[in-house]
Amino acid sequence: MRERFDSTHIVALPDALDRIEMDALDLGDGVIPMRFAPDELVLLNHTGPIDVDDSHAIVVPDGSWRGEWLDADTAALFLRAECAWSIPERRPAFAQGLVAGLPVKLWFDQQRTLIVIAHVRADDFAARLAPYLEAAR
Amino acid sequence: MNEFWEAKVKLRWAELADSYDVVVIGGGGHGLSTAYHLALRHGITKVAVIEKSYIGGGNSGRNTTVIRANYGIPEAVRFYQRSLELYENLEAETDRWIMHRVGGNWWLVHTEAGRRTEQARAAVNQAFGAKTDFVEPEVIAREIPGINMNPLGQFPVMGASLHHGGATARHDRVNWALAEGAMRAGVDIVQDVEVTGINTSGGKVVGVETTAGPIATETVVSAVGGHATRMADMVGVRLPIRTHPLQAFVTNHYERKFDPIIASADLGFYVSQTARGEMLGGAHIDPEPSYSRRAGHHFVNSIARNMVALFPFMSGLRVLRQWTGTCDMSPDYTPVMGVTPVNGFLITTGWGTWGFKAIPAGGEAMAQLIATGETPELIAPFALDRFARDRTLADRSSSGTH
Amino acid sequence: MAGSTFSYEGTAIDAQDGDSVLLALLRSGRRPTEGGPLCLAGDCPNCLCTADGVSYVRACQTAATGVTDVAPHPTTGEPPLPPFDETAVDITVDRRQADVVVIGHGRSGTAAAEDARAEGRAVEVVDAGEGVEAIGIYVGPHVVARTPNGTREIHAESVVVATGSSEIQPVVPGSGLAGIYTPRAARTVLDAGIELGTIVAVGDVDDETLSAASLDGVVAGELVRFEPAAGSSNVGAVVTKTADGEIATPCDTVIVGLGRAPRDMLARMAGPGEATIVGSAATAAPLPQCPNDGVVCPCSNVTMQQLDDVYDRGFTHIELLKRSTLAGTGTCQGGVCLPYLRSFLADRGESIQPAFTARPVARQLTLAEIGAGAHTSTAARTALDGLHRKLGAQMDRMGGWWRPWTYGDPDAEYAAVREAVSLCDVSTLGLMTISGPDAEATLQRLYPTDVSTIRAGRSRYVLMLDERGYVFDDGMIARRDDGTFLLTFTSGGASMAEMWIRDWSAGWGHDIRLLNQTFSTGAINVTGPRATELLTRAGITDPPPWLGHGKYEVAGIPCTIFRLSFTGEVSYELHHPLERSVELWNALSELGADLGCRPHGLETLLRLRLEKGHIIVGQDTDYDSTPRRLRHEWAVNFNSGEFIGRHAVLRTDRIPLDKQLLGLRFDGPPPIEGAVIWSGDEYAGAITSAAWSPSVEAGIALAWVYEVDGGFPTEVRATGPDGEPITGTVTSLPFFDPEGARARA
Ligand SMILES: Cc1cc2nc3c(=O)[nH]c(=O)nc-3n(C[C@H](O)[C@H](O)[C@H](O)COP(=O)(O)OP(=O)(O)OC[C@H]3O[C@@H](n4cnc5c(N)ncnc54)[C@H](O)[C@@H]3O)c2cc1C
Repeated sequence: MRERFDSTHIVALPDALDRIEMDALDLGDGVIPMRFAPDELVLLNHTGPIDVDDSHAIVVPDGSWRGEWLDADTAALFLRAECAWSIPERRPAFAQGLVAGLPVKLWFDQQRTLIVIAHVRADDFAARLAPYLEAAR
Repeated sequence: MNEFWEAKVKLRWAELADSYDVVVIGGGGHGLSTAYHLALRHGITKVAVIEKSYIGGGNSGRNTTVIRANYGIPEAVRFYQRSLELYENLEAETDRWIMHRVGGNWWLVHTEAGRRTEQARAAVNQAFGAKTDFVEPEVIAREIPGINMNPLGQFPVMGASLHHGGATARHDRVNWALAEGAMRAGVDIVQDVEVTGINTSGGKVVGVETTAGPIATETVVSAVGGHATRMADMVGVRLPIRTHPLQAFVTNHYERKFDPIIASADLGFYVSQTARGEMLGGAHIDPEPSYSRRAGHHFVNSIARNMVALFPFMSGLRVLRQWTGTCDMSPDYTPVMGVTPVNGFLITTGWGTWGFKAIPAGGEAMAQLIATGETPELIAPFALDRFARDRTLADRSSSGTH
Repeated sequence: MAGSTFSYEGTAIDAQDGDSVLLALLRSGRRPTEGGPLCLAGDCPNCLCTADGVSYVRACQTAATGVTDVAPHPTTGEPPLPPFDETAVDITVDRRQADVVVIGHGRSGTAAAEDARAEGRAVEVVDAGEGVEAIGIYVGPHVVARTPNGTREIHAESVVVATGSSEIQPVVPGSGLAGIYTPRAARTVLDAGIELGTIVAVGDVDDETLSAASLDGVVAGELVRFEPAAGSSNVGAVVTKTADGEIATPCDTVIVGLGRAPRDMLARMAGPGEATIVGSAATAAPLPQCPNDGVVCPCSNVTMQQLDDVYDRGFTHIELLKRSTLAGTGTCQGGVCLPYLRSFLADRGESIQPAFTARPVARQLTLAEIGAGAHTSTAARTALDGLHRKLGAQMDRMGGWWRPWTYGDPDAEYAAVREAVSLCDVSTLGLMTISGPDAEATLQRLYPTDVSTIRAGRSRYVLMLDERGYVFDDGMIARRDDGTFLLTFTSGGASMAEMWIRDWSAGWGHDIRLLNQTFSTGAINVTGPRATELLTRAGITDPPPWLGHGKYEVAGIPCTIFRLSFTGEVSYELHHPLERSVELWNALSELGADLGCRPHGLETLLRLRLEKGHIIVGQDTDYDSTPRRLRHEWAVNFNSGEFIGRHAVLRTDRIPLDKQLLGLRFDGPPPIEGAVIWSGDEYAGAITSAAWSPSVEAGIALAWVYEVDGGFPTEVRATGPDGEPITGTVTSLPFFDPEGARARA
């Protein structure tokens, strides 16, 4: 979990989040929308102000996510062994659930897979991921 | 021939009569023990035990057989200590081999909070007659064969409470010994008959409906394990009981060499080696209420992993079978016994994951209640009305499993 | 042919390519058990061995290439436990998803797989013969199998069980001799080119097997018994009964065909709707002729006489028959005996009983294999975890977190708080932000306090009650300038509290936004008489007042500072973005170095708060802790309208009080936490927290004190740390600085 991400964490009405998620590409290079719940969205790699069409929205900068980009082969190797649920087939795609016994967020782009985890679990997750990174090398 | 077959017990099945002084619903350990004690201690023999399947087919024949009195509150320590002592005498009393074996029950400590819990357990045990000591890691390393003192690098073994009287017995044999004793004294026990209704009149029990016809009686004991709420529903009594599945597993048989009964709350399992040599493992209940007796893989998967972490030598033992029971869980993890608002409808429930050890004392007390009409002091705190009276008996940290 | 070699009782055994351990042994004229019919299909216990230290391995199902050391199964007694110093082996898991899992790659399994594929469904096929043994169908359905390299777990939409049939084994006197084969087993052995001497066949043996054995036909008559060859445990003759009486046919090998039974253990294990059973696995279980004599259960060594014996003593139900004799409880899980137990009962006039319940695991695997891929739950680590460890802290798991218990010198840690200034990592506290049109309404109903009177910039200590009026958490509510609220909870309490809030507010139809920031926010408590001075050095000249809070920048790091106190000294809780925890900690440590600043761990914190009489939910509270029992009535405001637990509290308040959490003072060191207390000879409760208090120079404790003889004792007896009786006096709380002057300074 070598990378730490800055992000913007938003809790707002689902409609408002739908709009942001749809236009996420316009928010800047490398911004990844991770929709945790209908009313919760994390924009990875996004900092600064953002328009949310909900006057009660909670919008906070959130730098507590860590992650690791895996190439397709390593990701397949790892997920095959450590993930018990079906990975979405479309790309890009977001998914979340237990992997290697810990709650993670997954972002699949065309080539690679980003595994994101809360900092408080990142070291333990890294230890579980390490053998697969080793094997891939 | 194997030396463990039941060579002595003789069961004489009865035909149901039209009426009884007492009808016990459920041929599990508690039902059988109640009937046994009614007949043998109080001479009340016009008693029927009605079992919908076979005797011991509920939790009493699918538990991990741990007998211990190391509970966390005085009321429970006293009660279970009584039961533990009755167990020690049960072979002599019934002249039947129940494979009773004292191995000592160790609850391991892996955190400072755990140390507090186990020290508290030892203290309250000592105060109320159960033999339990807090022991330091050196003792554990010396006394428990094959233990890894720092499993997974995150669960250092920092001490344990050692309950010297912790024991096991063969569940089926306990059920049969009690059934046989009751039958011999004149109790009628029937299998494959289900109680389908309870008849009341003017707030009093007058009989039960069964798949084999109606029976008249003024006293019904509901001892139906995981079906307690359904039974109580029949007379409009609401019980604060939820039914949760509980799983266990055994390995194949190996030479008997591992004496202690080990529990670790943090690693979430307990294990002992049975008299037959199987390694017997269990854990806590499934968090979701259910009547299902099907096994999920997650349970055995994580328990096996933790077990091997604590006892690496067990890594190559082969698992033979896993199974599930449905436990009647009370909110305070303490049994619910005695009278109910419906006259003549008595209950013995809330046995959850810990009622096997209570079979002798539970039956003894229920029988005394029926015979004398007065709730014995030993079980008075366990009365159903404790919830309404705000006198619950919180014993969560020490009950939990087995 | 490359072949392989394994050692067996000190001898090297050569195996040919494709050999199972059993075939290789038979090739060398050996077998791992004394006798008993062989099925070569994993259905019986008659080829058990110990392979590379693992006992109860079926030699017929184990590839010879995979093993190095094989030992026979003990003929008497049980296999030994592995040596206690044996290390664990690591097993890997191969997880897959499929629409359909087909178990069994025979004719019907292959057809089922083809059909499913034709429908465009993703199919996984497993077959024991191909080295992948399914051991269970779990809730899901979720199929777990053993492979030569580890375990395989397949999550599927549905399962097809095409496990075929097993061959019924003979139960007659002498059936424990060696040299007896089922037809399929015989063919496999003969095809492998293994010499079987003089072969005869009895029963229903197919032509193919007969021709493989170069036999013209089967011996006439019905199987009666096997007789040993002189001085050997091998069969020497088979005796059959014909119209003309018994005939003994001499032989070295007997092929016995008694028909087949569905191999349906997995089928019976599946839940309703999860599995389709096809082929022979779906056929009706036969009732073979009830034997008169012989060993019916080879695993538990149960004879027909024993069945008779227990049956006559009332063990008439199939489960009682099984449990009393232990027939069917061994390694093969009834593979051999189950058909006979049923026919035995039918023969005795009982109704035909269903097979006993099938439970995983169908074929066995080791604890290491079954535990493969599982992860033990870990405790969360704050952003300062590494730093604590570098500082030499002894770490402890508590409330789902790793926390520093002590940095090595609890007395110095304590002194720093009481006399100078100290830092404590409180990032573990639960923290949430709540906003939305109904945020205040939600809080009003969640908490037993009047939230409307918490002004912006202020905060209040609150209890969380459940419907029964029992305290299950505590924390703070703080109202911000923008109308949103910050909520704190105990360490480890946040996940439960989050569900609690969401469930209730949804039920009330409230429109709220809730963000759980427990895992994204760090918090450092700066506490001690010189805490304000330290903050000033960090650039904070206008810190929040007592029970106030506000946004600040400390050493360039944005913080929300709460002024409150758990330690009894001036305290500022600095909530900040977690990624800057280390930076903030280091800055404060440096700035405070000459003020005597050092960190304190949990052990010290617990002592400090005990001096102040602050409770810890979980340690000092119990399942049934009402505010009254905790003497926290002051935290419940019945004028605040409807709140969860209100009715229960009102109701239980009318019931006489039975116990309460009180402070105890001892002249010397206090009893241990958990110690029992007595009033005269009466039980009077137990200690929940205890410590030596340097500040009041006494042993202090919180304890559940019970009503005894109509009143609450003012003095109690306990056992001291050295086993001697000591007396505690009920004391008003807090023990230290009762006016709270220090915290508000
Ligand atoms: C996996 C597992 C492990 C356990 N481990 C331990 C342990 O180590 N130590 C310990 O002390 N306890 C343990 N327990 C708990 C213990 O098994 C039970 O608490 C105890 O057996 C309860 O006995 P019982 O007689 O109340 O219920 P049961 O044994 O369940 O008997 C109830 C009987 O009532 C019958 N019945 C239900 N409805 C009707 C009806 N309508 N008509 C007629 N009959 C009916 C059922 O068929 C059943 O036979 C464990 C339980 C499980 C499931």
